[in-house]
Formats: sequence, structure tokens, C-alpha cells
Amino acid sequence: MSETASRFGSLPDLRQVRTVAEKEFMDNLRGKWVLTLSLIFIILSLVVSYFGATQSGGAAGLQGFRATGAGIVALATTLVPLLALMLTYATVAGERESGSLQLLLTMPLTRTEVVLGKMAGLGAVMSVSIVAGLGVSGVIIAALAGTDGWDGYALLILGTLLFAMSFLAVGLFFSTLVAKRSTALGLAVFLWFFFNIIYGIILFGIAALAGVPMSFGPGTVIQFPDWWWALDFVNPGEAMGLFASRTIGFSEVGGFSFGYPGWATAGLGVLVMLIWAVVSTLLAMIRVQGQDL
Amino acid sequence: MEAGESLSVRGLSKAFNGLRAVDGIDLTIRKGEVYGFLGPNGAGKTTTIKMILGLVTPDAGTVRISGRDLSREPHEIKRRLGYLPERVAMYPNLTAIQTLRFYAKLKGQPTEGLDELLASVGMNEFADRRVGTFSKGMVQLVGFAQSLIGRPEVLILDEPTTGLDPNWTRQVKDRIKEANRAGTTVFFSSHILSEVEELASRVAILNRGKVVAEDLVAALRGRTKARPRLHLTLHFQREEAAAILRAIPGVEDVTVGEEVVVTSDDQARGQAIAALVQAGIPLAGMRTVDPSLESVFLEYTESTRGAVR
Repeated sequence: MSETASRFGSLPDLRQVRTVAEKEFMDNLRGKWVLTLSLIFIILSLVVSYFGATQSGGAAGLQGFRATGAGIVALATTLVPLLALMLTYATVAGERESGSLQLLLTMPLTRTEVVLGKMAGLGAVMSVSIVAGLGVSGVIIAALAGTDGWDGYALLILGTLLFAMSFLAVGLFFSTLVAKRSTALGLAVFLWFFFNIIYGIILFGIAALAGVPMSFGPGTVIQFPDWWWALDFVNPGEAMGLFASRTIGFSEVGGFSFGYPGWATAGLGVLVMLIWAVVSTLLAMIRVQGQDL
Repeated sequence: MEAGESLSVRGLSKAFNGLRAVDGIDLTIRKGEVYGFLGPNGAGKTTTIKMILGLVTPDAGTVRISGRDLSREPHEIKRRLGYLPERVAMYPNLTAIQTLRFYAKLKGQPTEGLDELLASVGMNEFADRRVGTFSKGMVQLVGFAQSLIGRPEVLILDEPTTGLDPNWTRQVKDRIKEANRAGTTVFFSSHILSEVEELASRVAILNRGKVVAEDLVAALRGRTKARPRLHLTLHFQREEAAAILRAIPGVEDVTVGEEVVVTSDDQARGQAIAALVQAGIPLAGMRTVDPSLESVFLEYTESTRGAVR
């Protein structure tokens, strides 16, 4: 029906977007998601700070912001995609299966407004959880281990927020592709594996096939060609790693040092995450137009 | 769309995987009427309703509500609509009152007076409880209250009393009648024929995606081949009475049970009573039973050969 075309072409009504966003936030607040996510971030970031130094032979104890940074990045790049995908996988597919989406779309609002409202509401859930979780940890670290490097830590929180938005948008888009909650869950698990494990394996495989010399070991600086880095930074997790590396100054994770190319700036990391967030949201908006419910 | 029409559907069609679910149907629902939409399972009722609501895109046809074309003014139409789906699903973590506030805001309606709306369906004491803790019937009632937000011009109800106990069913029927008295046009589907008979002034019967009958309930009864039946209460001489009745021209059938039931034309019915009086057989009681909507429904849906518009 031409409803689709005319509505997609018009600007979204921000009041409707806000109403849907508020509902999403309230639903997750009352469902204890916000509290659960905040506690996860507080506990794991403090664990990382306390035990992080033991990996490199140091003693256990709460580390300052600089020493905690790399551990927080590793935590964020693993945990944030998982939590974002868990939060979004059923947001469209689950509502479609239960029938609440059908009722929602008989209200005077567009499908675009529903997608934007959901993205805003779930974005607020993740943002509050991340800021509260990493914020409380930051206050504890500052109180017990000093404030040196707090600005880098603050930037890291901002980067984590953007990183979370990129995965929320990816999860939202994939939730529009299927009609069942169970299928959506399977897809979310696959996406997490793909971005966190499979993507890296494929890239290293490509490098090996292309004859890139690789020797692994502590202290090794791995040199990859520019095209390889370009492919690597397409992954939002790697873009987050780049952003964190450039803002808080670490260049070693798990004993491996990365010789990032000079053109790979923090801005590039931000740009990649932003593109994922925007493009995935747009794809979700396009996908829901004209779908029979 | 003519003046006085509230909802009009023209040439609406939809096929899924090559199978025609709805096949070029036309419907006209007049302002202020209660219109029943009947059909066996899989006849295409829900698909039709979803097309009227813009949830399913038709392959062909138009939908106009309150003088507006759905494809051109969906927002204006949806502001004037109330809808209760067959399978009501709401947000489990929101309370009943938060749920109504959410839908009221989306409809651009004030959030005051929603407590009264919940009370009108008997749910006032559960206003602050989470919907996730409700029984199916209670969710249905919150859904029904949702459909009444903002006194809609047109109320579309898909199986409105499914899952409700008799008390709640009565509550919903009373609210439908009340809304209709206040000027709301009601379009509802149901498989409970007694409910349709009680509420609807006109009905359409859908079978295999086509409207096979559409008329006033009384007129549809008149069209059926089924005849009114005369139920006679006799304490004695039942078999003797049956023999007398069978001999009267125009009597099609006489069955003897607790009552003697005579199926005949109007003229023979009068003659039957006179014949029994003349034979000195005492009548303890009598009543005429018109053919039910059920018999009409069965006649139209058992075979598409009986299709009449």
C-alpha cells in the first residue's frame, strides 16, 4: 500500500518516537535489565582492575585508570556486543511473534517511528547501564587508586557507548529479518561469534593466503599491510579497539603488540562505529516497510 | 464512498503463496451500525481485518474509513479507530494503567480518565499490576479497554469475547452496546453465532475468501431454506397428534420427543393448531422457533453453491 512510501518519505514525528522509546526504557527498567546490566559492568570492570596486573606477572590489587584501560577494552569488546544483541534480538521478532507489534502498528505512528523509538529506548537502557556501571567503577578506582588518567577513562566510556549503539543497531536490524523469537536468538548468537571470533579467523586466513609474514610470540609487533587493516577496522569491535588504543595509549592486548598504521586514527574508529549504528538502523527502517504482519 | 458509510471495502484481494485468502470482497458498513463478520476458520476474516488496518498490504482493492482512503491518510484513519486483535499481546512489564497510558499517548489522547476506562471493564482493582501477571481473559479486557481509548468512530474487534468467562463476556457485550449507542460504528468478527445475533444488526458471511451473504440478520434468516418450527407441548396423545399433523398439506416434518415439533409453511402452522383443537387434544403450550443464524451460516458455508449476495 502506498502508506509505506508516503510515510517513509516524511519526517518522523518525534513525539511518537519518544513515546515508543519511553515504553522500551520502562519495560526494561521494570524487567530489571537496567539494574542487571549496570551490576555486570560494575563487577566485571572492578574484577578487571583488581586482577588485570596478574596477567603480566604483577600483584593483585586495584589498578589506576591507565592500567585498567586495556582490560576494560577487552571486557567491552566481548561483553557489550553480547548484551546489546541479547537486548535487541527479540525487539521486533518477539513482538511480531506475540502480536504486540500488530497492535502497535494500528496506532497513528509509522514503522520508521517504531524502529527509531526502539533504537532510542534500547540505546537509553544500554547507555544508563554503561555510564552507571563503568561510572561507579571509575569512582571506586579514583577513590582507591588515584585519578591519574581519568580523562582517558571517560573517553573510553564514550567510545563504549558508541560501540554499544553500533551493536544495538545490528541486533535491531537482524531482529527485523525473522518472524520468530527463537530464530532471532540463534541469529544473535551467530552474530556474536562472527564478530568476536570468526571474523578474526577469516582475516588471519586471508593474510596467510596473501603471504603476509606472521610470527607470533610475546613482544612481537605484527606488521600487516594497509588493506588488511582496512578490512580489520570494518569490524566494529576492532574499530573500538583502535579508538581505545589511540585515546588511552595502549598498544598491546594479550601479549601481542599491534603496529597500527599511521592513518588509523581514533576518528576512524568513531566513524566506523557510527556508520554501523546509522546504516544498520536505516536498514531496519527499510526492512520493516511494507512487511505483512 | 457514499454519505452515511463508515467503512467501505472495494475489491479487496490478497493471496499468500499463490493461494487466494481474500478474493475481491466488497463490504459497506454504515455509520452507527454493529456489523458482524462471520466465517469458518480460514475463511479470510483476520486477513481482511488486517488489510483494513493496514497491517497487510492488499494485492488489489481499496479501504475507506470515515470518508478517508487508508492508503492516503493512514494516520487520520488510525486516530479514529479502535482495534482489538484476536490474540491480544501486551508488554508484560508494564502495569495495566501504564499500558493504557502508552496507547493513549500514541493516539494523541489525554491520559486522564483511563482509570475509569479500566473500571468500565471491571479491571480497576488491577490497574497497578503488571500485565505479565494477568490471566488470558484479563489481558483480553485490558486490550478491549485499549480499543475504547478516545471514543473511536469505528471499533474493529476480532473475536472480542474469546477467552472470557460469562461475566466478562457480558461486560464486553454491554460496553460494545454502550459504545454503539454513543455513536461508534462496530465491525466485529466472531465464530459465536449467538453473540452475533445479539449484537449485530447486519452480517456478512465470508467463505473461502468471498462474501457469500450480506444482509440484515432477520433478512438472512428469511433467505434460508430452513423453516420456522412449531414446538407443541402435549401431556397426552402425542402419537395421535403427530398422525393428525402429518396429514395436513404443507407439513414437511413432525418429530415426537418431549415436545412435538412441526416443520411447515406458515399456513400449515395455523391449520395444525386448529386440527388439534378440533380433535380435542389438549395443548399445554406452544412456541414458534425461527431458524437460527447458525442454520443460515451452515447453509452458506457448507457449500459455495449456495452463494447469494
